[in-house]
Amino acid sequence: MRDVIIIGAGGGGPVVAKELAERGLDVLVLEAGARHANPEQEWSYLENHMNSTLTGKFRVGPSDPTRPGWFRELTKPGSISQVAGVGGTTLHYYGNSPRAMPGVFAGYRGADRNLYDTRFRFPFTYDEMRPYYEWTEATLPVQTAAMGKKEKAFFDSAEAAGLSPLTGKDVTRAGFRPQENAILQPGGNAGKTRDSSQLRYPDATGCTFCGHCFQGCQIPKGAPRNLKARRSTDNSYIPMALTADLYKPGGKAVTLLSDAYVTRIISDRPRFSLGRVARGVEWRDTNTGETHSEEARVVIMAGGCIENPRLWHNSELPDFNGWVGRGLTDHALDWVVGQFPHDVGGTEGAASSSRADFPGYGSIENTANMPAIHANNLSDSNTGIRSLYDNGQANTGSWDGKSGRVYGTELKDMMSDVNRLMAVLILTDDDVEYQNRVDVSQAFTDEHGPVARVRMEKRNRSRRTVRNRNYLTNRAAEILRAGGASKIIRMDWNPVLLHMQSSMRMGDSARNSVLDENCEARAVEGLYIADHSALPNAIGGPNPTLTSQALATRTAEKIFQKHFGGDSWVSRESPVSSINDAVTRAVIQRGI
Amino acid sequence: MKRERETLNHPLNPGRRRVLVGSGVLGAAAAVAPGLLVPGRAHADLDNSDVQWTTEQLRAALEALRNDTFFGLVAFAVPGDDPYSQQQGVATGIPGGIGTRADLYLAGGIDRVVPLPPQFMNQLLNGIGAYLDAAPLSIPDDAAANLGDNGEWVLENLDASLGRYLEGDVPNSIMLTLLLNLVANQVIEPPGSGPFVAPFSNLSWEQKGRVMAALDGENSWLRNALRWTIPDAAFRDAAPGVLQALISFVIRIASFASYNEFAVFDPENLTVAERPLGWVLSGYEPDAPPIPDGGNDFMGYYQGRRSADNA
Repeated sequence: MRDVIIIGAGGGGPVVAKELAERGLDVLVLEAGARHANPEQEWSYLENHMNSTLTGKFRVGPSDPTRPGWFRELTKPGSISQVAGVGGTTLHYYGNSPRAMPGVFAGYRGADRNLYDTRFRFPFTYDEMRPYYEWTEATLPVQTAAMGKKEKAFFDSAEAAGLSPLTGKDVTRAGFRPQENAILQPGGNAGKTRDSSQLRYPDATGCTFCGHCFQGCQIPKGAPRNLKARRSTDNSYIPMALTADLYKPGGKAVTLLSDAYVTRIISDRPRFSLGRVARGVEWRDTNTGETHSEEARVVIMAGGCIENPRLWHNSELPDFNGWVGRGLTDHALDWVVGQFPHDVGGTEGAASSSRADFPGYGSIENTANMPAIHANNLSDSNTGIRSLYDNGQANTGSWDGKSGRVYGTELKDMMSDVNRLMAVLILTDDDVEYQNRVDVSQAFTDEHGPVARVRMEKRNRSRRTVRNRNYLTNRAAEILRAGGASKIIRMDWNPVLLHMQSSMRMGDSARNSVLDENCEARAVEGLYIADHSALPNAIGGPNPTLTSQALATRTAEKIFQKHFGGDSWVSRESPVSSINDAVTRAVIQRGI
Repeated sequence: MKRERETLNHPLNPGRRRVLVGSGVLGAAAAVAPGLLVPGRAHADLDNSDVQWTTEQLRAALEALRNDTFFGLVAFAVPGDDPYSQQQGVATGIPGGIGTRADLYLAGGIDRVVPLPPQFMNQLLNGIGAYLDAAPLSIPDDAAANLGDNGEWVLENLDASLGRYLEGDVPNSIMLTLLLNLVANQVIEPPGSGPFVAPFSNLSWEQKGRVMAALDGENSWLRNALRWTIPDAAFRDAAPGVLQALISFVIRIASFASYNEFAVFDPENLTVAERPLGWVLSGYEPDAPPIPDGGNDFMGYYQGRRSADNA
């Protein structure tokens, strides 16, 4: 029997794995997708090769790209931008690591306290969360982003629009700032040359400004895995989890199995109880089709906002209050693009290094994108094709004309020089709503059982969600206008399920939460969740990964205390950074 | 050797007839039965082999129809200097999506994006036929008369062949092809004509927009068409969402395909064999290949700040 089994090696699972490995527990991590052990040999900088949702390296599907991906049923138009594999969706995330808005936590007393999703706050205070943020920020590590052409253009535009800079990690007023990124900032030749021969480690360290964050971070070439620039978990927490015995006294390396799709959580029902106790898991080897099972004292779900509810239902676990899979938030993402008369670095540097925050409404961030993603994003809308039809839904505002898909010669014109495009991603502080949910399909099954069905009612969001989204898109357009954009387009995207939160939410009330205040399932003892689905709300709009990782660190402590008789450590110890020399030596020694 | 003429036990459902004619299936199928529509040939001379299609023949015909339709679709997304762009009346002096072979990408992608079971596909097309029975296309009921004395017989055999084809593994791209062309015939009255087999590809850019308007969005006619005509309850419930996801995917991915590298991908070296046309069109990486491992855009730190304050 294992001490702990963790289902999923994405943004959250590896955090718990590493933390408990440092405590010496026997941890098994099961990942349904591939293990990308040799990025420099396996990856490219190319959009379709890496990011096609159908055949790309970064898709939700088995390791073998010739086999179909794992289908999820959508009830409305939309797209899902997740990744299966060791590293999960952090394989193509931008590394943006802001903290949550303090206003979404219990006990918040700020003057703007009523602007947030007041029904579904964190069940503990921001002050309680802060040490876990600090621990996680030091481990990754999180650093203030460097500036290039597109960042300077964004800062100048934001200032011209009347915003002022933010200088702290805790956001309590509106303003703009460099991103706090889980990216090692440039050193040596990095960022100073396009000559690849001068960009190998150690001549270059950290981010080389290659402009390919979305295709996975394999730079600097020649660097040990834990010294790759962006801190996706395959570059940070996973290398630590696999070497904890080497760099941490008393530590024990985790066992990591990829291509292992968990199909069932094994549980018992104690006598005289309606609830259950987690005993272990069953999984299927996606290459051989063989099934396996193993028992553990604690089981942790970390398969994400879509797979966790699916696994719960397919395991026939109880859903006493009907909230399993409910309350899905997605930041109601939208996209506002400005076309400038001059180069604003639309494809250069780290994918996103500048942002503006609007407490109570959400955040916006400037992004760099390669051409196909730009074209893709310009062609997605819930409000028809501009100039042809609007589905009765088109919006007008500070942008030019109606929202909608850009198509035909207008698309070709917008795309005629991608470096003249400044693209702003809208991250709405959206509400937890009962209607938005993940359950299982009635029509489709695959080799792992009924597939997940995702329902996001884009046209029926809460009044506050719609208000916030419109507010942010207008502010983004105003910033672009102030910066000199000659043409501004708002897309009004269909749901782009990239930032998903809260489908298995924690909360202080048993009536509307799946998890208690320690992220343990209310209905299944010994079963925890440690990813974005455990978040109680949309965290106010900031990118969710850091907050999930900090929460997962807290959950690891709670598990160690309750099930293994240990003490907490975050308040008493100093974290080991994932770029610490001892970790680097361990990574090299183990050949990771 | 002549095969015996098969006799159907029931007249061809009018809705199904409209599917065959309005979707372009008949036109595409005629291309693989060249004796059928040769001008001046006496229809009385047709024998069974002229008007019966094997499943393989029909598959080839439908794939040709799909290719023709997707050329029209890609030209709609990113017009170029090709005949499909010129036919729609919106063309440019430089290549567009067709030049990047986005049509190939689109066809392959659509086939993979949703794993529709054969029974789902069959019910879907029957459902569309049932809907068209109640909401007719502008296709005369006696369309078969255009085929001469054997018109009914041709359509019956085509329908039987299509039925057999639908029993097999039908690609999503074929289903979408039929839909686009059916809707093209439904929304454009009278149906247009032009040099292409696919009715959709003969439309103007604005007319293609009307086709998309009919399919895109949560209140499209398709939703109404399908909800009540698919017998299986689970499929009936899933069909609107699946189809809308497909349509939305197609519109979006026609653009993605036009600007990505797939046509010149070098799988051995994991790079591009030459600069992709989409990069040329967008001014991206003018010196590629090779693609450099970094850029030279580092300008320092905003206000010189290397860290944020921790309250």
